[in-house]
Amino acid sequence: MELYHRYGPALLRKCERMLGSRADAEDVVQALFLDLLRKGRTDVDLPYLYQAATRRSLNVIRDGRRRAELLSRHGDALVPRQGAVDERVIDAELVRRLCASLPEQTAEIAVYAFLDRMSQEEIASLCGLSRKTVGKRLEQVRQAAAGLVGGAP
Amino acid sequence: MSHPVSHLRLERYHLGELPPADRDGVARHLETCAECRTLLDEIAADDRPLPDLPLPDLPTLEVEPAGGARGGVVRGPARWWAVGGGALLALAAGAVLVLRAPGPLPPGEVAWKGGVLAVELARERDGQVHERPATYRDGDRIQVRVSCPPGEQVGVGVRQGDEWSWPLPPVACGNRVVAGALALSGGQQTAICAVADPVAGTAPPPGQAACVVLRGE
Repeated sequence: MELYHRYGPALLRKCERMLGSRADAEDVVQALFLDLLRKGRTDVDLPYLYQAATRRSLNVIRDGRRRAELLSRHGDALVPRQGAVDERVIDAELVRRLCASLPEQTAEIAVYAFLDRMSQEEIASLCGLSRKTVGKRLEQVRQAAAGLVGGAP
Repeated sequence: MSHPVSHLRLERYHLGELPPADRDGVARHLETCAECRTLLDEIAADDRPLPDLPLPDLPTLEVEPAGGARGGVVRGPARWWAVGGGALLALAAGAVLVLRAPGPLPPGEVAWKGGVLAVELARERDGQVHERPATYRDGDRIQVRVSCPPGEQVGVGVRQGDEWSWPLPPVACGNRVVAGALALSGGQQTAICAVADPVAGTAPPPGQAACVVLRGE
């Protein structure tokens, strides 16, 4: 499948960044492309696949059993940190913890902003939202992060 | 461009898929941003192998060599026919039809109705997928994808020797539509064809079939 060979590596890197595990990333990306094959879909581009892979990875993070595995694997990073919360400390581990409790779309926006380094404009374009809405959701993320790490937002 | 370039844009830049204006902006940013250059270098250097992608669990029909069950070519379309009801039973009747169509096989792509009629195969063997195979052996699963002008419908014909069979239901046209999967056996040369306007009892005329030939290993 040409799409898989063209976009698979980029999606694997993206999912690995979210999940912290190459094996889990491979599971997500393979399942995504198998669904495309079943549906005969070939008219998709990388932004579409990026969004689909993000949502599937979020499902993995939200899954209780898988989440326990992830948290166990990365336990050292889960010690609460003190101090102000800004984008420099909202790292992959914190995003994983946040994603387990944030509303679905807010979690997706958090991933784009803090793991994928997207600007608010880029997130708005990808998700079909206004930049203002994206900004509000990111503020919710920062507040949730502050609650998790015990610092002021 | 003061914001760091996102991973998605770097990936698209690496693939050459950014629109020109965006691409130029990223290129300018890379000249001054060591962090983004490092990320781009990491993308370019990532040569970890892509895991094999198994074919989806499509219903698989078994195709035997001529002279096998039912005096011909197709056997055991169990799952399709078991669930399909009357329409599929009608297709099953067509599945035992044997057509005589000697002569050279058409290529994998022909012009048809202002567009292209094309067939493309993928072979799954031992969990590994090979796109556009030229050979097969017993036990392989062959996924059949067809491309043809939207709004039309095509059949999938299989030719072994001079005998044709129609193991898969007709499919609505589109771009690389998955028509189904076949399990081939027998080792003889087999042509799998997308056939325009298939007519029972009639071999596909020139220009109305696009075929790919597999040799037995």
